[in-house]
Amino acid sequence: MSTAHEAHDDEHGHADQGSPFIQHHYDDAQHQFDSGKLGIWLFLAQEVLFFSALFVAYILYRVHHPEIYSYAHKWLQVKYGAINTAVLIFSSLTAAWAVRAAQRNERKLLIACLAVTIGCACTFLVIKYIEYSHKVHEHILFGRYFDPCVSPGGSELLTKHNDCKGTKGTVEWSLDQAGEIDLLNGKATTGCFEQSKFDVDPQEEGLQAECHVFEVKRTRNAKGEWNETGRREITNRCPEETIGEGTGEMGAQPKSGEAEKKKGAAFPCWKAAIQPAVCVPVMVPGKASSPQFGVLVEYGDEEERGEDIAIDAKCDPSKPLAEPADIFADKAETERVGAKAIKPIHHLTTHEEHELESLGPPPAHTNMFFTIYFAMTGLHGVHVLFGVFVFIWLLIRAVKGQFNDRYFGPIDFAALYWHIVDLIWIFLFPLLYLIH
Amino acid sequence: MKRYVLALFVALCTWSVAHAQPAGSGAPVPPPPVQGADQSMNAGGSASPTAAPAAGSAATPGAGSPSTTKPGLAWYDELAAKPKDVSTNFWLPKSVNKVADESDHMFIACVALSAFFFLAIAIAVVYFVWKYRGMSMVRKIIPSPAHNDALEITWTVIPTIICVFLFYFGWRAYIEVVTPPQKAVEINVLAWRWAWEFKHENGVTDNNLHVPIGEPVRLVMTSKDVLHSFYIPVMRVKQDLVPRRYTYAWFEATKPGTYQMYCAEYCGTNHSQMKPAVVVHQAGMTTTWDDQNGHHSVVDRGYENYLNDKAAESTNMPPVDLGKMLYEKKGCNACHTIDGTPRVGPTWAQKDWGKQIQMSDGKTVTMDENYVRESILSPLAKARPGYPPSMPSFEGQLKEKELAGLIAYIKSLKQ
Amino acid sequence: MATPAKNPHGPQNEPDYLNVTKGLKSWLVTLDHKRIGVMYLVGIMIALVVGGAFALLLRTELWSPGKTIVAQDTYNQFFTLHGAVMVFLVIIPGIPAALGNIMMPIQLGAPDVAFPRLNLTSFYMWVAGALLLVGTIPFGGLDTGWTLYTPYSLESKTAVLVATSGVFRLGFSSIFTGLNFLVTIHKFRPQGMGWFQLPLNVWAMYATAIMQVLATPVLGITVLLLTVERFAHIGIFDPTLGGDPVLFQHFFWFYSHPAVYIMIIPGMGVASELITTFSHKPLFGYRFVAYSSVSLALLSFLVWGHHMFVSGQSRLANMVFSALTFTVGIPSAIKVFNWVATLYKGDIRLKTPMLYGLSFILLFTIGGLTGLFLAILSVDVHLHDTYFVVAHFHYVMMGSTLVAFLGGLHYWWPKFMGRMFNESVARACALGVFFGFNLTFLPQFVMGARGMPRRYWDYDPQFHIFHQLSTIGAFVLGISIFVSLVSLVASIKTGKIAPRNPWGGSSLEWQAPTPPPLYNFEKPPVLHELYNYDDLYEVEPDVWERRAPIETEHHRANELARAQGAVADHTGGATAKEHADAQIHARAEEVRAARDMMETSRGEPPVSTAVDAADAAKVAGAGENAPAEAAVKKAEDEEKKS
Repeated sequence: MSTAHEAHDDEHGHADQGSPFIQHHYDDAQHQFDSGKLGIWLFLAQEVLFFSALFVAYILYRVHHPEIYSYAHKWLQVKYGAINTAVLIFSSLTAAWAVRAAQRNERKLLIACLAVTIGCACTFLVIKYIEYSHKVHEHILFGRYFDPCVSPGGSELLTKHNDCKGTKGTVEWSLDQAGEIDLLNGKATTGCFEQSKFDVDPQEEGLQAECHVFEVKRTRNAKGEWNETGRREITNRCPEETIGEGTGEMGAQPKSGEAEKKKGAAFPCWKAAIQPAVCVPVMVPGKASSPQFGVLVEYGDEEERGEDIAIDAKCDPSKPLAEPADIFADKAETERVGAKAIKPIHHLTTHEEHELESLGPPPAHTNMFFTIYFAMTGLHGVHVLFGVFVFIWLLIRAVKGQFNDRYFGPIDFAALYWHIVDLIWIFLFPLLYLIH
Repeated sequence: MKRYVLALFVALCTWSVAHAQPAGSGAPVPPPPVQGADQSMNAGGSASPTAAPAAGSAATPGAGSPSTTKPGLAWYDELAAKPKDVSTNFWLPKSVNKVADESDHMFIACVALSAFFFLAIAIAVVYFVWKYRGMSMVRKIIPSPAHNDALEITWTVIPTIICVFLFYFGWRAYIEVVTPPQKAVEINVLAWRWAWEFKHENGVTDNNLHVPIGEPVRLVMTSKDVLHSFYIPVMRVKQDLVPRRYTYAWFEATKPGTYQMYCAEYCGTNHSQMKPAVVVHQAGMTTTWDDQNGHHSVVDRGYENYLNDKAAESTNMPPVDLGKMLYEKKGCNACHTIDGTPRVGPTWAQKDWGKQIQMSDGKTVTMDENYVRESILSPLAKARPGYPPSMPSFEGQLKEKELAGLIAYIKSLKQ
Repeated sequence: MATPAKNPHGPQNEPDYLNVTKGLKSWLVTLDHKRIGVMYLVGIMIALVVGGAFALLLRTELWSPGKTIVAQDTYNQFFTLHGAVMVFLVIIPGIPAALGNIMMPIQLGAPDVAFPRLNLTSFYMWVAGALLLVGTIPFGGLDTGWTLYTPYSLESKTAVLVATSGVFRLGFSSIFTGLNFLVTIHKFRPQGMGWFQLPLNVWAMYATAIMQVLATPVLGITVLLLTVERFAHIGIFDPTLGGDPVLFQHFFWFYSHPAVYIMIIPGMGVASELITTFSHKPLFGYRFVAYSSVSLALLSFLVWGHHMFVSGQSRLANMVFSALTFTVGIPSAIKVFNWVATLYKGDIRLKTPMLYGLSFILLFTIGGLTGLFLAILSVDVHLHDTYFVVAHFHYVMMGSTLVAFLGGLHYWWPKFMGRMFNESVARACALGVFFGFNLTFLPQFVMGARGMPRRYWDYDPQFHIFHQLSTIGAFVLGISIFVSLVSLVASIKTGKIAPRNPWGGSSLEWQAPTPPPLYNFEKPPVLHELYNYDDLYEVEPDVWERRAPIETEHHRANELARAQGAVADHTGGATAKEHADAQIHARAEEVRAARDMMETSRGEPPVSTAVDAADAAKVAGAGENAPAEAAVKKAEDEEKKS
């Protein structure tokens, strides 16, 4: 403190500060270090906020669509995630050790610690690269590019690009629900209605149907057969949160306001989504069984509704929205609709088949999980990459011998940064990989 | 300085009132129902709604009065085309929503509160500046305290109390405004760039909103593309429309008339053209309204008849008329003109019918029925140069008959 | 930046910061906070002219219903670019990055900001962001509104990607500035300057910096996601892919509501300085004003949902956000009352900065009160997205922040440019700004309440008169601002040489030479009691001096005095009268220091009891110079030993 203003008077006289890296406007080395430390903490606070939006998005989608998470996380390999966690934790240790080494003037140890940290960071990135390239290969990507090699069975491959290994015939879902969908007996709470005029790719995200849904009143006659006694069109669509969740809990209690809680008026609304995955062959007596795409219509819970009410529907797929030409958009859009050429590359191995079967069909908007996965891990990866550059810079400076017990701020700050990168990963790993 | 502001403000208020009055008084105020028409309606019309046009024939435009109606405009469209009722009580448009009163009272209370605080502060500022204005070089030292905790607490607590009251009453009124009654006429609202479609319970669709008087109307709304916002100033109702999600609004109209509705959420080029009319129909009776010049009568046959007549209209209509109706209803008019000037898309008053026209990819194609049909169903397949490729496909949204109607209408406009 | 002949009030033994090095390059790579601030100021003035030009174009278009000069698409680009340029390039960086950069370290008595290189980085981030934002024009413009709402911004055919990359950079520019200021205020306060001896402008900068650091990252990630969404279609905001467009609004407003306070709180800080200086009286209720800045900063994080009352969010959320929104009204009200109370029994001089300061009070009052309407849930349903909202936020953002910016610019201009501006032109402009502004935006309140939606190219005939009034007002306003800027710039060549303290300001920047040298002070500044005007006299027109000399040649004594929060030994060469003044001061400061010592974040200063004794001796000795000197010597010796 006492030398502060003398230092100003003598502009280049920093010899007594212990390092040539103390800037003029600081009182002394301690002042510079304290300022830097506060600065880096604020920067880290900023980083946390930067990531926070993604965590909020994660939480929101998880609350609204838990089925997506419990389905999609199985596509991630816990093995890789776990290795990466270990690697990062170890590198955090070496980073902290580097600070200690600098404070004790142990230059060789410092260099070794920095080198190991860089090595760990690179290992992390390599493993991440392996994970990503698998995903790219299998079209398990974000948003529009989520296009996995799975299908509900039948003759046609459901991916847009048809370059999966295997053909569509190789994997078929064995769904229990298939047997339960029995319109004639009115047991279904969910109807799967054929849509013969489908000429669009039903796997297309977000495609919805325009339906006229009828509530059919009926009675059982003496022979035990159902006779229709009347029908009326139900105009109410279900409100926001239930739309588009074709394979959510069947017949979930419709939520459309307190006013409609009464029994009898309990099913004021219906929802529909094109759900090829669920519309597997329906065994309808007298008709040939064939796999069909269809429109899934849900209308209340059967138990509460009573079996004397069934549903019927006539649906047309609404057209996808016309995408405006966008100079920045890729050209993938034009490939969305069009003739498909099936190019079987190779048939799936038994193991792959079993794996895919156990996964089951993806719920609607599974792409959102991967959007969040790639956004979070991608942004984290960029931070790791940035850390690598920072540590390389520090390594060069350490080799030059610029750090000592009076000037080790940059190493301390970089280590702090590295800890927060590590910490974020420690949150990401269970949130993305370890979902039950 | 402050006095100038006040003077300006007062002048401004006076000016606006002066301006608003003629508009208000000039606006069509429905006179009480004509007794004769009432009785004829009750005698002949109430038994069967389909008989209403005959019963009300005395008042039918074109039949009784020297009408300036455009030929072919149905009575309900004529109502929708009437000048909008823009009467105001200076600050707010006159409310026609039964549940909007409390919200209006809040507004007025807030105006009064704001005026009080603003005037108090402004007068204090002006007075202090005048009273304690400094003389150059001569310093007046008037000792005064630099803080006073009691005063500080006072002017913290008083605004707090006011805020609590404002919040509570505002919230209470809001709950009323957003909670529809059990039984309501339900209308589906679909918006897209840049048009509205209102679908009534019997399935008829229209691009103007027709509602009954004295009955709660609940709107179930969604958007096809981007955000829009359903806004009727006289109803004090506003609600965003979000794609792939349903939002709700409701109101209960108290006064028949034609009002303005807007899209309040910015949605692109023709955002300011997304403003259909809201027609509040008289309850189940025929009423004759004169427009402001008095030489043209418009008939209101009520909401029920609107639904029936509208349903009848869409089944038997000459193709050109159908096309003309669809031109407005489907929002074609947002991008295409019929007077020869290009807008977002080419005009429909074509010079090139039957001729070869240039495409943006360099090819040429004959301008004929097939080309028009293809352009409606897959607009981007053969796009014309100089226009943005922004037209949505109408595949699946038009019946075959409607398509034929549109083609016929476009053909009728050729030059 | 050509500077004329040397200013006699400038530093004596070294060049001032404008002349310390020459050439364009010396400016472009400078690390001096004042030069960086001046470069910011140049950039912001250019952006202000660009944004203002868009405003006038769009007001011209609205002169008549339908097409007046341009078609819809062009109009949409006008209001978008007006909004984006004004918000991101002018108002957010206006006071903190330009005026704050130049003045805040000097007000602290600090030689520079904590991280000069980060400061320069921040400036170039701003330049890059500004170029990208304005660079959208050759790439097809931008028509999404400055709010960039999805899904429109995903589908717009304009250069959204260029704009979002720009906004991302501007966000980080803002974060770096905030981070730098936080560290500077924490670590560069002189010993003895406790939290409650900070000028209110510094308090405001502190509150602003908190928000810049904690809110702007959310904008960063939001526009980053939007950018990625645009070119990679990740779907997070795209409803056709299962994303949630309303989530964008939540993220956007989580930043942009605090951003409103990033804009207004510095304005409040500047206004506080103007009002106290030109009332020649300490700011009334200093602590309450300081606390209210910080509480506004913290509350601003909790109210973003009030921008979304009709977006379809749940009623519960609406209720909570409405209630929280009212809480931000209270600190704002406290500030207004305190400013008005400061005028009471002051010695008020209506110089140009004070005209802006008074305009600020009145305009902010209107802006704040009309905010109440929008916080009331039921009323907001009607007023949301109408011209009422437009008028309201212009009263706050422009009527308050920009007016405060202009006020602050005029106030500090003589200090950092060394020249006085033309007072009569500036006063005329200040009045033009006030009346032009009100003429522009008062009619919009009426229009909005009557249901005129915002962002409309066309409008109904009943709104015609209001739009015309508004357009006339906009031109008055635009011309006034433009003339005042031209007049300021012209003063660099033609203005009178500015004295050290032309306004009678009491904070530390008025002790610095005019213009200041590289490290701001030739000699360490002497701390006085904050906002102490008792011994400030106008010795000739526009030249104010303290009766008691404020500096001494004895550096060491000053330093120890600063360490104790006490006044330095004024006695060297002073008259008996000055000496007595100094003694009175010293006692007053002593009492204050004892209290404030508890509050300083840096804790007990590292001084020995010997220095305490010396200090006590100094005060008690009243005129006896020698014992104090001896004690100082003794203290120095002891410190050397330890």
